[in-house]
Amino acid sequence: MGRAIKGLQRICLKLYAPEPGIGDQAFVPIFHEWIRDQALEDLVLFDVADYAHVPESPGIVLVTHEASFSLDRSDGLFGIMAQRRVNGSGEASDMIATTLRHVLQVADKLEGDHRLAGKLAFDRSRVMIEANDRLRAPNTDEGYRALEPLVSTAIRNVFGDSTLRVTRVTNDPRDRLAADVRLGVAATGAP
Amino acid sequence: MAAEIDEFEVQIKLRKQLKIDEKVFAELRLRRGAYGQRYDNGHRYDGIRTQEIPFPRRGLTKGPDTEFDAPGMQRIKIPFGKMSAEQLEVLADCAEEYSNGILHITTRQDVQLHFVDIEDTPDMHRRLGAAGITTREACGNSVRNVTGCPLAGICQTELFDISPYARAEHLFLLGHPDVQDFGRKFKIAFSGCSGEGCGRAMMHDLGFIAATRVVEGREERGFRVVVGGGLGPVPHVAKELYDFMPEARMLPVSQAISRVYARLGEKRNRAKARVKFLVAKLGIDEFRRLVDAELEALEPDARWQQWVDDAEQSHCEWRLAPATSDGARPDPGFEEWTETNVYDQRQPEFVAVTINLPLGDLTSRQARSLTDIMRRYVSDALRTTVDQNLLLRWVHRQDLVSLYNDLYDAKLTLSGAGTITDVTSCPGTDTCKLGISSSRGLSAELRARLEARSLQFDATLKDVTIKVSGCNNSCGQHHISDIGFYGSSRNVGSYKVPHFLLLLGGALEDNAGNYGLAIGAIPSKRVPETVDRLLDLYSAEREDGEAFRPWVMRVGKKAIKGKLQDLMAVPPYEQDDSFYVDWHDAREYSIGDIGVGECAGEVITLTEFSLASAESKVFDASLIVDDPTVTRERVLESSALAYRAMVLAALGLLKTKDPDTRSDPETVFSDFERQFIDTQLFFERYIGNSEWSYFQAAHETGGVARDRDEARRRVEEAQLFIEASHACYMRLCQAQGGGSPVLPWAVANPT
Repeated sequence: MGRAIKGLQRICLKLYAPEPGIGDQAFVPIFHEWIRDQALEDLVLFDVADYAHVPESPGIVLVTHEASFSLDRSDGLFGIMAQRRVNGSGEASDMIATTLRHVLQVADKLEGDHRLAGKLAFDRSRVMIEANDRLRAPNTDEGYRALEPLVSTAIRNVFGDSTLRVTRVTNDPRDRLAADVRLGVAATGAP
Repeated sequence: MAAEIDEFEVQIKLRKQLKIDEKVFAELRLRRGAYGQRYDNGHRYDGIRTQEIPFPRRGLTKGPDTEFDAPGMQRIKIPFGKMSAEQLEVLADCAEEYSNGILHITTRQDVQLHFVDIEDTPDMHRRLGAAGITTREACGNSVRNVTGCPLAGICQTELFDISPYARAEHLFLLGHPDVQDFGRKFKIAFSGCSGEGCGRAMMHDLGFIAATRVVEGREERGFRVVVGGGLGPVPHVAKELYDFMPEARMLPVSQAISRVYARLGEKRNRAKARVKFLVAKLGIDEFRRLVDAELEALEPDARWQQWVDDAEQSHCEWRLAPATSDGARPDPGFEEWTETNVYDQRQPEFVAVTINLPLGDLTSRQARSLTDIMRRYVSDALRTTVDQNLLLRWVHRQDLVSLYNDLYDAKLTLSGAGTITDVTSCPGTDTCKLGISSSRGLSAELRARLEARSLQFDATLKDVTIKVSGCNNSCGQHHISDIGFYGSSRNVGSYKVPHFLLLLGGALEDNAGNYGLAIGAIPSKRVPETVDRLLDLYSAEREDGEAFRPWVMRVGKKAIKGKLQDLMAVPPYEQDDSFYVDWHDAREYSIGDIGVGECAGEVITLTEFSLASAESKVFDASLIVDDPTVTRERVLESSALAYRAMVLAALGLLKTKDPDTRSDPETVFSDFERQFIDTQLFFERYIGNSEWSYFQAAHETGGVARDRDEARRRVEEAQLFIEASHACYMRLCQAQGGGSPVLPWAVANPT
């Protein structure tokens, strides 16, 4: 399993925030402006998709060549979800780290946008990571044992040696293998 | 199937090494259902200017002008819409992993996934194939998904269940050698009854409508066979090829028609290559003679009967025992939902339940919840519908409340299925390369506004149907709704403004056998107000029980247009710039970094006068051709009027070159050919070729039509020629650096 999961490239990664209390359509001009200015580092931005009419959907999606960034509510909670779209050349932990840096960049930029001022505050102490590849990373105990060290490595790679707790997300076995990461929390204890 | 997918994977690798020509690769991927998507030419207008998208492997293509790195759309065939829980589960996984977690149901019962990387497609195809789903021939010049009435087998009005026959047709023709050499796509539909609209047989290349006859005291099953229907820019209602064809002859007839089409159908001019043009050109009698001759010549094939027998035996939907025994308390909204989303099956103890999907979309998570619901209540009895919804069949009446509650938890209990709020829409400018206006943006807006008003609507108003397409290719099936719209654009001063052409008077009844005709172009932002006004007019003026279409026919399109005239105006940019941005978009609609022309909004060029006059003429022609009470002579006059409209549109363009150009038809035609056709000025990538051929054909006959069908077609063609002339005029304006050319012969707007 460890070997198989090394080929894992497709990652989803979510940062949570309290509901911003503004309509999803407010994000449309912001994303269009970012595309015009190619405003995100290391990403080729080119489209905005609108699924706001579907409940608990990706909402408004900023599409880049490397990843899509959506206003996700699929687990009933608001957040920005990055879905890595293309295969890279690195290890799975590199893909997770890269995608995490991307989503942090998007979160910073959204929080800094004057049109959303004071309405968005992402929780950077919590990250949800999904292996978006059932063939390479099945949602099993063995799959999780292989995923967990990759996640820990990637998080430390981005956030440094902060304490963290990684737990497996309990979900429908047909759903994707997922890990919940809490930063600043001892591995076995409470915050 | 596995070997074919392996081969496709190799072809992708070879294309990356430039060892397969891009045109060849494009057709290869299309035949695997891997379609292009908007911006895949590597350019995108950002509201100010068109920018190049810096894809990493810029220049590596997967088809002409199609960047390899650009994501595409994957179309997945669901024959007659029938899907098992296992298949839906696989689709949900694929949508999540290769797309963006959204499954889109199309008006032809397919599933589409967007933003798919071409390099992911072989793995996806294998996973789908393992669940018995194919993407083969989902696009390209081939037999597309075979559609069928989603109520087949449970319908109150059908003669018999067409499902096994649709399945046999799909299996027999998939990859058949006789369907590999078409000039264009070929669409087939099955319907269980002639009067309803669910099967849409009359708008298909080939339609089978259930029929029976009694032979020696025994009832024999068969089909009324119709051919040459189609929507698209120039819609045709199918013609009857055979009034009754026994079921055992269904497959050989399909094969024979395919052979005639492959042999005689147009191959070079794509705009004239659908079978409807061949049928119109030959006439239905000659077409029948050719099909009969092919039937005579065909080598007998044991599969003709075997496929039908096998399909009948293998087609079954398990009926589960009731899942519940008590009367559970329903979650909110149950009564309203029951009124619109529950259908009483022919089998009295069962009902069918429509899951109303906004714009045909559901998430992977919803789809997975639905598979649990299917397994609990109906096993594999799910169909995609031609209204972009899902249908659960064989639901025990006693399970209805419990089923509702489970659907409620999955957020799948939107009521109003099949009513005015259930607006159909193609992808339009969201993802389609051909989209002109935002059909999904408009439809989402209409849905929201109509849902807010729905409590005011009585049953007759709720029955009004609305369908929206992003361009005139009709993927949203705008011709067959009471109120239809298709995307268009207009120049206003220095700016482009998104519009929708309004059509009234289409109908689903009789297998979608009545098409609406254009009333006029409405600015996109005024479409909701237009719908409101139409509904108010209808409410006020209808007679007892009068449905929308008869009201339109009684009051007349001219009178209705007169009452909408003020909504067709666009305020100047300086007064209200929201008109210059499409729905759910933030970019200014116009192209290029346009400066405001000094005379913008104050003068109208001679070209614009001519185009407006042409529109007026074609509208008059449409009034005549749409009136069933007028004489044949008057109908034929409408064709001449349509031709005159084309001449006026061409004249308008000629006036950009010379304001004193002569206006007699012969001179206009030859000057237009010399100045706009020989120079290619009239042509753009997707515009011009077919429209020019319409003008040519009309000119050759001097505008004379042989019959009502031809007259009607000419009116449609004239409308398209005028649209293409508008587009050409816009390009000329841009080439001059902005809005309407400030020409010395521009005249003051008399209004």
